[in-house]
Order: sequence, then C-alpha cells, then structure tokens
Amino acid sequence: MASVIVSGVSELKSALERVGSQVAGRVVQAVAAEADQVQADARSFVRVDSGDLQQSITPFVFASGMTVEVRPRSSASELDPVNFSIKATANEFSRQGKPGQPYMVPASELSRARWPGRVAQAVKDAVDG
Amino acid sequence: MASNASPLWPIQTSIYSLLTADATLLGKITGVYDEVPEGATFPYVVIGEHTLNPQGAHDRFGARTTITLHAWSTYHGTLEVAGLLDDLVRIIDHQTVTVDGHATVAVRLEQVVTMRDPGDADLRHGVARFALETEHQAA
Repeated sequence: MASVIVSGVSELKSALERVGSQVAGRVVQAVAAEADQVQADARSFVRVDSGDLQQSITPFVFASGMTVEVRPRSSASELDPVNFSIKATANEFSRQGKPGQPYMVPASELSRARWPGRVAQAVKDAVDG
Repeated sequence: MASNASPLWPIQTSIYSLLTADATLLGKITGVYDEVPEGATFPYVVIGEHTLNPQGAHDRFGARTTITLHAWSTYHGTLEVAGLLDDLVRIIDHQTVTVDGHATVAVRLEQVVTMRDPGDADLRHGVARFALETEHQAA
C-alpha cells in the first residue's frame, strides 16, 4: 500500500492559529475605526440646533469587539429619554409639516460601501504580518 | 465609458408612476406627493429622501440608490398605515422598476418603520425605504 508522509503539519497548524488571532485583532481594530467614521459621518449629516443630538451620536462596542452600534443616545442629552427619542426619530424620518434630515441612513449607506474594503484590508494586513 | 448621470430623478419618476398606476393604493389615499399641497387630506403617501452611493463596475457606472416613502394617516391605530405600507412593499419590492437611461439590477425593501408624529398624537406615520441598484445602459 502506498503511503504519504506529510511534514510540517504542526508548523502549519501553529501558523494558522497565529494568523487567526491576528486576523481577529485586526478586524476588531477595523470595526472600531469604521464605527468612528460612521459617528463622524452621522454627526456631519444631522441637523444642528442646540447640538445635543449631534453630540449624542456615539458608538457602543459590544464585548466581542466585532459588533458596534452607532446611534443617538439620550444619556448625552438634557432631554428626557422619551422626548429625546422623539427628537432623534423626527429628525431622521420627518414629522408632519416639517421635513426630516436623515443622518443615520446616509451614514450607514456610506459604511455599507466602505466596510468590505476596510475589513479586506484588515485581513490582508494580518496575513501579511 | 457611458455618462455617469444620476439615476435619482428617473427612479423617483418611475416610483411615482408605479404608485399612481395602482388602483388598490389609489383607492385608499388622496394622493402621492413630492411636495404636499397645503390642506391635503389624509391619508396620503409622500416621496421623501434619497441617498445615492456610486457602485460601478470596471467598465460601467452604477449606483445604489435608496428612496424613502412616507405614509401618513389619521386613523386611530396602526391598521391603516400598516395597510398602506403593505401596498408600497407589494408595488415596489422585487418588482420591475424601469429607470430611464439605466438598467435596474435589483429592487429591495430595506426597512419599514411605524411611529406616531411627535407634533400630533392623532397622526400615524409609516416609513418604507427601498434600495435600487442600477447600472448605466450603453449609449
């Protein structure tokens, strides 16, 4: 019976494990950078009166580092949470007789176009070392 | 390479034509508006905001455009506005939307939201956002 001897498997396995952890680290960095960019874009799009809505747009990073939620947060405003929510929603979606000025949707559309390139670069950087 | 003229306005006119050609929807509303005339009677549909992001291939221009439609109602409850949103989705989502000067690649529902109007508790507001991916047709 023919036999095949494969050498270097343990070295390959450890190299893949090393790259894997590096990829995760790079992707976490990319997620954070993307969140910062979404925050900046949304803040640039939002209608500014007092400025509290603009300043309230902040990222929240989940424990894994792989998920970030960027949105207006009432804790950053002097308004109570209900009225703040109404203000944030009305600015995005309009109210009767007063047009909206969307800020989260345009920011997310920019991110949708940008993110694949950013995460691909992060993986490439990790693999290239 | 073909021109990179924006599909934004052709998309709006096409969506308007689709909505105003649908007898079921027209039977429920008083109109489809870009700018709502003063004194317009509820319920009605408003063509709202757009976003456009370039999405070209190596040999042609393309774009991903979102268009947001608003349904307004004074019905006491979500029923009427939900029905209007259903109609908007039925008419547009995954349907053929002819965009003048462009080839339509995909038409997809992105999000539906219902809410009360902050200025008038009797007003119900429904939002439906659609995304259209288009490519420029060869001249």
